[in-house]
Parts: sequence; C-alpha cells; structure tokens
Amino acid sequence: TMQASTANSNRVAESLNHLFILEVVSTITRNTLTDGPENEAEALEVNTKLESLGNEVGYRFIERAAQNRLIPTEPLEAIKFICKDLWQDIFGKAVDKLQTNHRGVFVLKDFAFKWISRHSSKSDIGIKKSQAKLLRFPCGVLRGSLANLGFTAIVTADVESNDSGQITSFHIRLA
Amino acid sequence: EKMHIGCVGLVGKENDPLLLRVYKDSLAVDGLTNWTSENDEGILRYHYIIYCSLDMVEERHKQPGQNVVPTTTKVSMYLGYLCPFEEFHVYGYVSNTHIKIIVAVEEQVGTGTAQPELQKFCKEVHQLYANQLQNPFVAIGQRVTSQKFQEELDKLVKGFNARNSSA
Repeated sequence: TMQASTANSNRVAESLNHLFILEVVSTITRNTLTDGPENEAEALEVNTKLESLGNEVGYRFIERAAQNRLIPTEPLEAIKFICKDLWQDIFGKAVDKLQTNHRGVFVLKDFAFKWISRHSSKSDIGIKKSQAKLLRFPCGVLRGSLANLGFTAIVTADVESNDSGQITSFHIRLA
Repeated sequence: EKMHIGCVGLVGKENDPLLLRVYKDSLAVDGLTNWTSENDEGILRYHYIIYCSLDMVEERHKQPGQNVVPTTTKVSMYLGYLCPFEEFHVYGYVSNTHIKIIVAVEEQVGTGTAQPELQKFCKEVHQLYANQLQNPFVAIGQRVTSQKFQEELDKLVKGFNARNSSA
C-alpha cells in the first residue's frame, strides 16, 4: 500500500480537477464584474481571460505531451494528435468525431464532454450562457496547443442537445 | 576516440536564440547574456556555428508558416549530423514544437561515433526544456533563464565529456 500511494502521489482526482475548473470560472467572473448586473463588456472580458488562461496551459502542456512521438507538420496530423492524445490526457477520453473541409476548418465533436456533463442551471438560457463561459478555457487550450505546434487558429465551441445527450462541438479555423 | 561538446544552442520557432552554453577549458559560459563584441572571448564563433547550422536545419525541417515542403521528410526529431565547422561536427534536433537543439562536438573521429549517445543527449535536453516551460511564471517565447535548466544541462554535458575523454 505504501508503494501504491507513492506511485499515485503525483495524481489528482478527476472530480477535484473539475471542481477546480468550475471555481476558476467562478473566481474570474467574480473578480471581473463590478457592482450591478453583468454587461456585455464585462462578459467579454471574462471570456477573454478564460480563453487566454487556456491558451497558456495548452501551449505549455503540448510541449511536454508532444515530446515522444514525431508529429508530421501537416495540420491534419496535428489535429489528429490533439483529438486522440491531448484530449485523452486533459479531458479523459478521445474525441468522438472529427470533420474537416480540408481547407483549414476542423470540427471536433465530443458526445460526452466531461466538463459540462454535470453542469446544471435554473433555466435554459442560464445553461447556455454558463456552458459557453466554461467552454472558453478548453477553446484556449486548443488554440495554445496548436500555436505551439506552429498553427495559428481561432477556436469556438457550442453545445447541441439531441435525444442521446449533448454534443459539444469545437470549431477550429486555421489561418 | 576523444569527443568533447563545445557548445549547446537552443533556437526558437522564429530562429530566435533561446540559449547558448559554451563549454571550453572545463568552464561553462553563457553565450547570450553579458556578451559584447568588446569582451568577446571567442563567444562570437559559437554564435556563428549555430547560425550557419540553421541553414542545414531548414533544409530538413518545415518551419511553421512555410508552404514549401522541405527536400527530405523528417523521420525523427533527431536530425543527426548537419555540417562541419573547423574542429567541430555540428548535430541538430528539432522538436514537434519547432524548438531546435544544436550541439557542436569537437571530435577527431568520423561522425558516426557520437550519434547514438548524442541522440539520447538531445532527447534529455528537450526534456529539460519542456520541464522549465511548465513553470507558469516563465514567459512563453522568451530566452531560457531557469537556473535549474542550466545546472542540469551543464551536468549532462559534463557527463558526456567525461565519458568520451579517454584517448
């Protein structure tokens, strides 16, 4: 048992990681908002902060993650690496579907994105807004990791609900 | 069979210098900071080695933003022997993140002897680089200023030079 605990001493429980991310969103929101209801400029500032935080994390993360395997310099190969390896490492599973128009636009679909799977809110509009906010950080992570691999990208995300659950789509547009 | 690492250079995505450690007379010298053309002490030569070798790197590695496909397809991050420079053989390594590691080795034998050990060396230097980048207080895209990185790198070079010093 001693050996087991030292082997896991660098690991963090996944649920703690999720709670941490939620708290990051909440803290940045709280620190950015002034008194009164949230206005457009403040909402934009919160989203920008979350996205650039994700950018830094993604950039640094991929330096370590992409160390051991040669990734060909084609954009598609870089995106495939992200879909399988990076997604597995950060979000706990691989991307479910990858679409591309072969001209620099990629859509990554996750049918059970963990970070929003336990998300709830009092209203439908409330859910949409808070999901959008929560997804800014992963968008930043994607942008940062692509940037370090040499690709400039714009990343946005949205969530669609259908009968089988929620589909989180990340849209990547390469420059 | 004597081999001696003369310098190790780290070059960034836009071929900007990130680090230059020069090893001569059993001393490790930082080739980027505190360097002026007045108190040169031979450091300029090492700048020149790195600079010239980048041409060879470019032939084998596609830089971000380039649309031209390089003449050879890279099969690993380690590029191997790049070019000679006076008493040095210059070897190169480029990571997926377009960070180049250039090593100038003073060797009297051919270029085959050092290769396997150098490949391992480059991988370890890459590991050190990735580790120092994990620190959120280290600015992205700036020169490597981590004390720990420097110490670990010097240790690696010292080990290599010690192992390969017997004539």
